[in-house]
Amino acid sequence: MEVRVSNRLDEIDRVNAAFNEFAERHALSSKLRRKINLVFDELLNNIITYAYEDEHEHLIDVDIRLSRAGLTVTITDDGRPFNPFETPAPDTALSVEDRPMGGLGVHLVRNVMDRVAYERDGEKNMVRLEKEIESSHRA
Amino acid sequence: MNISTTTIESVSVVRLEGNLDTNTSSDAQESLNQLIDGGASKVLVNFAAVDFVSSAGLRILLATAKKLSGAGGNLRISNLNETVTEVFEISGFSTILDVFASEEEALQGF
Repeated sequence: MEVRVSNRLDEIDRVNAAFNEFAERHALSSKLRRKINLVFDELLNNIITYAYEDEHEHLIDVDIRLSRAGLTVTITDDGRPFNPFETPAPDTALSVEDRPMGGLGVHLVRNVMDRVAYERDGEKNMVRLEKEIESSHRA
Repeated sequence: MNISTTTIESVSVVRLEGNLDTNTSSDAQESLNQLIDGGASKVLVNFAAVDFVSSAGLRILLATAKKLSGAGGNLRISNLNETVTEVFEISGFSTILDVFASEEEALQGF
């Protein structure tokens, strides 16, 4: 499944809607679907908010492959070099009062996916994420 | 997302419907702020009709918890689905926020 969107936050819903349809067609569980929805929200938000230094429209490509082994999601954008996985993990032991507000999104992505990778390919950022399909991920 | 609020024995019960994510969190934040500015000190957010929560959503919950505790109040959370529970656990929010399995349990002793 491939979908191409513009760098606007409201496009995140379009990616998730397309993925949800894909998930239903392939009988993926709600548990897995929600994790991928979360990943799209976090990573697309990051790209749209931080990757561009101009006011022009940019296109972001989302590719999803499903095999017996698992799900592979690839997100490609043409923004400035930006590796979301270089963000340090937040200190999850801090109390409500001591917690800073940022850093959570990528931490969640790393933890709900099995493998995450970033590559700078020419003028593009490519993020590849993998999730193995367990029997509980099939509806 | 849809936000409905009701009061049960001095607790403001907020029932969210939809996703608490990048695009919906600021509306949710605004509703919660209005409640607290209007005097609510006990707030319960019921997630039974919430599909997923992203870090944007967690941030507004944290801000709400801080705002309430600063005013001598308290925030409780209930009815998280399996994936949202996992997100709370990964982020450590299940230890810093008061999370209950059901609205009934959350209201007890609130």
